[in-house]
Amino acid sequence: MVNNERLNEFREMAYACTRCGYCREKYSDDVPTKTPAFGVCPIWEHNGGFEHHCSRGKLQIAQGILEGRLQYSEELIDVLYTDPDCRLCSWVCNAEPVLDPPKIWQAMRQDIVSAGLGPPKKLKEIDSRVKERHNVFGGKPELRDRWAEGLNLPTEGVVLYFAGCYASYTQPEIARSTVAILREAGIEIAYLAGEEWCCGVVQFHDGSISLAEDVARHNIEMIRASGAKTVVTACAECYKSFKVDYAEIWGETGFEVVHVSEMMSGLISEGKIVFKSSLPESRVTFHDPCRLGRYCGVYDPPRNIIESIPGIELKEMLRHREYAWCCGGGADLVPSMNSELATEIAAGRMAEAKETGAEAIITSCPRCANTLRDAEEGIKVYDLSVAVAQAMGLNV
Amino acid sequence: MPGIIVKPVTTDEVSQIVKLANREKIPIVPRGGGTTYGGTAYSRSPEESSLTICMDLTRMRKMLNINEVNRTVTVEAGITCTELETRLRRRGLYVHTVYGPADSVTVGGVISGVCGGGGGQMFSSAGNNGPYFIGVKAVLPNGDVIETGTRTNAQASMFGRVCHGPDMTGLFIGHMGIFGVTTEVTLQLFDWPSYEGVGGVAYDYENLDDAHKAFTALAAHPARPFSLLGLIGPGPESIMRRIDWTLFYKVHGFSQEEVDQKSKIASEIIAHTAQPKEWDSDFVRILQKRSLLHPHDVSPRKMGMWSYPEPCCPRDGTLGIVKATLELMNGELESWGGRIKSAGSAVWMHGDQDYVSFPLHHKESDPEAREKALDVWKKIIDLALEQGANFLVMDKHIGDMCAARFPPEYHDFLRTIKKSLDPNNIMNPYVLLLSED
Repeated sequence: MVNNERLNEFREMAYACTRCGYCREKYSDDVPTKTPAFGVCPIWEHNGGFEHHCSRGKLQIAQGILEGRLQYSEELIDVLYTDPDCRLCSWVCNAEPVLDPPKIWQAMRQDIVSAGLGPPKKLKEIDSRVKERHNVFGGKPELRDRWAEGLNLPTEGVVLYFAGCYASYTQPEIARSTVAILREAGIEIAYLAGEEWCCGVVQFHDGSISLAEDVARHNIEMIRASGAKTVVTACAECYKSFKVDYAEIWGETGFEVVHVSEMMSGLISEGKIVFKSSLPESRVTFHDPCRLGRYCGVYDPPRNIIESIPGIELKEMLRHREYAWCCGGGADLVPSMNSELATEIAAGRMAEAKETGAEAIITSCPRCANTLRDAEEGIKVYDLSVAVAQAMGLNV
Repeated sequence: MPGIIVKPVTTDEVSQIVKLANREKIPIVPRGGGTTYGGTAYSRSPEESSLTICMDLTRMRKMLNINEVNRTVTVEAGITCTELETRLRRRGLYVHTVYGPADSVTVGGVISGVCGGGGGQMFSSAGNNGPYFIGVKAVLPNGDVIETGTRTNAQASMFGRVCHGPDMTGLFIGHMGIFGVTTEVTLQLFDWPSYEGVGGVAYDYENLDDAHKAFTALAAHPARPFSLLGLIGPGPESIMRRIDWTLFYKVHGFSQEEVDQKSKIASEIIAHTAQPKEWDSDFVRILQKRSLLHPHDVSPRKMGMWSYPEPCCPRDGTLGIVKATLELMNGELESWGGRIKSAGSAVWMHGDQDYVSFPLHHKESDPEAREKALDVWKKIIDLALEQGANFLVMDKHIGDMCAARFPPEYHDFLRTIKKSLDPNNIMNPYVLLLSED
């Protein structure tokens, strides 16, 4: 039996929908798309266009649950989890800022988990890996800081780098590039070594909130113990977890969190980052990660950085900044529920990137980079730190 | 809820589905953007709903033909009004579609779901869109496909509406899907007058009569210079604060000189009818000063759902209906302590009629307020009908209330046509009390 405890907290929001349908598709003068109305919901657009896949329909479902007209069936649970929580629907919502639909989905998922009805299998497997091995991949904990071999990083310091699971296990070049850039700019960097755990992003979104809180609590304690006053991360999902979720639960943590793009942008302005080289590609585009952009409002720093690299022209995709199209991978929800759908969404994004004439796409989220690379091999995908390190001529 | 949802892509697919539904006697409810105010009726009871087909036309969204010489554009019914308008605007062209929320409302939804075909961005001067719909392609309840207008000559293109007998395009305007499924619509093209000017004028709260006098004088100008003309004023809450009335006009033209001339007409008429308290070329500023903004912009963000009684009034009856409605709302809602709000009332010039709206906002999580708002909404509709107003935006509830007042002979006439076209009564059978004995 689901008690709807969390959903009840969002009752006002669940009923705030004006049913305008802007969460399906929207027009904006800000977005000079070829077709004036542009898709808002990647799931609605790529999954048959049925109402229950867009926020307007899912809010009706939420109301049905609250009123006891609907129960959490397997099919309904599938619908609620097949959503990247990309938040474009929140941005265009007629009832914004009252209505922020992904918060409702997250509350419903928490109720589902509390009742023992979720999360679905693949997400449960991720949860198990995070619980047992503290990373989303199930990699051995002792290998988590292998990326730092030979760097002689201290475990105490004022500025601490939080690598995240992707940079630690599958894309170590991001971690090594980030540290190299910041050191070159004269910043002493510490790290948590083997004491860094997953940030909990999947669990914050899939409803396994007690596990999310456990890993978050651990990370906060370890960071405090390190003496860090600033935590920098190159992962948009880790950044969102710290900036939004940790802050919502614990309020003041005692340290500031910045995304590496914010820090690098400042260092470029101060002349502390100098580009001695460039990238092989002269025309690039930037993919805004949902959790860096729409969740945290960071849009300009990555663009400032890219535009500072000599010989590089930044070409914006049709849907960019607040209107950026999701890569499909957010918090591993859609890839876990329907990997083909996630790939299709990412392929759509890559096609949009290609339309700009760009030879490479830069992003500042390892999960986005991963999802985009899986979808399309015809265009190079850079992580921002990797691109910057390369343009600085650093050997990482 | 419907038991079956279909999303056809072609007229032929629609036809095949309708034939199948006819054979099996399964009701079909066509659907566009899903923005009907009061919902639709998939069944008379929850048990029946699994036997109803929802026909979602949003995959039929192609712009099929633009003929700039004949001044026509033909589109599939599922295209959104915004997409159509914006595509045309980029070519310097314009069609009358709908004021909002145009991003999700479809052309098919407007032509079928709004009597007269709704009102576009320039509805004050243009009135109902009906005259600007040239013809349709429709799938009849037996699955046959017909075209109206000049396409009644199979050799002709769709270039005109009136020919070869009765105006059958009109049968498919505001029909709520009871006579078939509209799959293509041809609309009249206009050049887009890209220059615009606005003006705002405030009248003291006590001077509704003066404000309305100026409004009527402006509306009566034979050249209809105002693409939008509205009188915005208090709702039940702001009546307590004695909020002023604001007259708003917008003009469009093909040059700045034309806009200036039209604006000058407004100034002269207002100066000669009833002197306002304040003028301002910035309409939004004048509303903000009086804590009024258009309810579409403000109230949903604070309150969520609305009930929207919107009578279309004869101009000589508008003032009486507005006063009586505000009095009714004030009396009904005085003791509700803000649980039901209104951002104001509005009177819009809609061709030769006035389109009046009284939005009521409530939190849907407050069931008592919801019930009360709906009760007041019904009372306003009854009052307006009683005083000779009509309703354009049709849905299950308003449609039934209006149909209850049909003269019996008219209702029989409507049923006879329906029965003749749709003997199995499969097309949207539960509206306009057509299925009632």
